[in-house]
Amino acid sequence: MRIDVNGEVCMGHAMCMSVAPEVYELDEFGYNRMGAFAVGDDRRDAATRGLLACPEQAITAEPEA
Amino acid sequence: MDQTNTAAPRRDDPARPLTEFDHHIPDGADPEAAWGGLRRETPVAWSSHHGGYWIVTRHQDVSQVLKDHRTFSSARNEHTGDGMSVSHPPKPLKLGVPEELDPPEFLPYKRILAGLLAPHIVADELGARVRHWVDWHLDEIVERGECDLVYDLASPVSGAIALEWIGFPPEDWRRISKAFHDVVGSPHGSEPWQAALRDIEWLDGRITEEIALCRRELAAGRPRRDVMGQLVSADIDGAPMTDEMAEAMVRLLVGGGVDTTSATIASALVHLYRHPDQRQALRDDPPLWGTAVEEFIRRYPPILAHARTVVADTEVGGCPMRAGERIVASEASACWDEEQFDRADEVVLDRFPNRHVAFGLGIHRCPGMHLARVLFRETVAAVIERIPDYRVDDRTLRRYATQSTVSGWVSVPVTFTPGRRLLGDRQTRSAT
Repeated sequence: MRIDVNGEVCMGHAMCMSVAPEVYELDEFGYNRMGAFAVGDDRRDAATRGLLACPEQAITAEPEA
Repeated sequence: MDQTNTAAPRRDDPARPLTEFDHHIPDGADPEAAWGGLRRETPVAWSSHHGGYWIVTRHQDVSQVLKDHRTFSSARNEHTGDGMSVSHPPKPLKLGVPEELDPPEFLPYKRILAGLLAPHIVADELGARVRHWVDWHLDEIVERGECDLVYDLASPVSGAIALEWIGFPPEDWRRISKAFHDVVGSPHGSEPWQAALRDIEWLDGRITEEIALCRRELAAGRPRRDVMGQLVSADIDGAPMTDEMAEAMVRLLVGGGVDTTSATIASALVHLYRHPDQRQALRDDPPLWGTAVEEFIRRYPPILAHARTVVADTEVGGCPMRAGERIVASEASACWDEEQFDRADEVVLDRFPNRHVAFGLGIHRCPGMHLARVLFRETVAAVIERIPDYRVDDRTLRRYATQSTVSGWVSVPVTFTPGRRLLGDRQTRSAT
């Protein structure tokens, strides 16, 4: 699965890191600047939890091409 | 003035549905019922009160307004005069920064706040102070068998955390937290309300004194490490922070930190008294707190609404809005929106996902949210652990008066089986 964190939309609520610290990390101000990245099957559920937790809906997912 | 803006809206204009609703909910009324009634009947409405203004209540529409800072301005302008831009009508309060700024002016101030209140700072530094002050305040009441969960606990704990961190001396804390509680909690014009206004004026003077003091310490090569000390040594776009703007930031931090989380703490403690099964579930299964914190904040949001000014013609929920019009978006109503949340009127401790907007959305989202979550959890968890059999007397509960901004209980007297102190006397004394 491919995750895309839109840095323009992220407002630093930190919910992604809070529910899925194994996938998401934040910068020193608490914002997610990870952009697009691939996650393996073992972290798929965690990545989806982080996506669903984002109140700004800054995170999207696509199946790996 | 543009004549088209002054034309009285017609009652049958579907694009401007009229309401008699005033978001200043009268004393004693239930804000949830009032906001719910409006949301179900007229989700985007034009109120005839306060010179006419839009009210937006659905989760989807409130989110649109809060996220679009280019169309919905938070800055003071010719429509807000000297009053606070994010209340309607604008309250006669001095500028709060960065809440009352739009980009680009907003950005450097927001960056400073985001750094001061980043999740890792809260986890590594402020979390320990939260636990200390929760223990300390519970020690003060635990042997008595009775207390007021707002005046003796939620309000002073929130005050101690915020004011110690900002840099006020302990002798100021109670006076400041009581003033901010009473100014929103007591009826307009009442004696406690007037006393609170006098204390807020006194606080304005204290802020000026402390910032001047920080400036002198900085000049003498001894910069203070608290927030006020950091503010005076900060740069704004390459120039030193002015005293005026440092004071405006301190006003925002005090206002945002002192009587907000405490309202949700008190609401949650009343709720948990009425739901012993949930009290037990949280004690038995601490990981449940992760979702429970968000759910309590959704179900009992402290802040009811914020105002903006429409600065470009736009449309919300099918209603065309014109530049220059004022708009109130209710975060609380959005949190209670049945279209967004199943069983919206219940507390579902493991609710997920939970995209509530109690902290706001977009660039102006609450900068203290990470601290608020820790403060909420530590305080509520300590109460249900240390005085688990606390009893709330429904007849003595009092709601906030004329609720336009903060919602909750102004006073929550309880009785309980006395317990034991946790901190030694030495630690208690040194803490103050």
